[in-house]
Amino acid sequence: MKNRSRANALLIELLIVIIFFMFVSVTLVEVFSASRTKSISSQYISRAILDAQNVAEVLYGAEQTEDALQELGFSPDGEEWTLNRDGYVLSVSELAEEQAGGVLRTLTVTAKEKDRVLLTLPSVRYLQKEVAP
Amino acid sequence: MKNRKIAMGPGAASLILIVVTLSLCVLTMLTLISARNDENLSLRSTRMIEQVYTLFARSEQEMARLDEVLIQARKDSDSWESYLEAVEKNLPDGMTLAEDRISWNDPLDNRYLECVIRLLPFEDEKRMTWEIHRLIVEEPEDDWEWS
Repeated sequence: MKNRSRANALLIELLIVIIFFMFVSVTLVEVFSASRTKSISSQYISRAILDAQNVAEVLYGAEQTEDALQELGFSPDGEEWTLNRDGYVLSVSELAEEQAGGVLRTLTVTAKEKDRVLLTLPSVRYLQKEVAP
Repeated sequence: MKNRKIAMGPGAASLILIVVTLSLCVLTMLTLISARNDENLSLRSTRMIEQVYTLFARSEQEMARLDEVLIQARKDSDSWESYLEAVEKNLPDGMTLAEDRISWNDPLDNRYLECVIRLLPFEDEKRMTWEIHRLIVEEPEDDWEWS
């Protein structure tokens, strides 16, 4: 009789332990999932930084922007050029301002993850016009 | 020979639960803290790189501003010396002329962008070219020494 009641108590205890563990594990799995999301986001940001820097440097040295963008794999999208990467999208927009002695060419390289802007890099170059002495 | 039974005492399951739960909690917190730190570091790097590129962009804009001065000075001068005089007189703020080189610095926290432009001769159709265009980081001095 005593053994039976001990066995019952043990079973009940085990049941309570299992139920409690279930609730705790649900919370912990959510936290783990949030950590993984943050970690993936950091990876995208790091890759986007390197990619955007690379594009900005190539475009700075390029004489013909459109040729350089096509070589890099960009495709025209309205007034911008875009390139889809794994996890983010790079886009480049160009603005050319005529100055007295040349053209101030501003290329803005933007990396976006869905609707969130990860970074924006300006690549500005002043192209002197030849002015007869 | 007696058959020995291994039985769990009362409370053993609860004890195991507590230990396992605590361990998982600690592991989870460490994972979250590590992921957060990685994200913060990435965001800090992003901000710094954006600032550096903005500095470089500003220097090109300064170059455009300087070019207007040089074009006007060329029109108003008939000799190299008078050209340099006219340039020095109309230099934008923050720039200095030394012989045929114009220099300025653009600061950013503990680093600065060193810009030096060399003026090209009259015969050249362009007015100037970059001589130095680099980011210099001022390392903080160590305030400790090995004894």
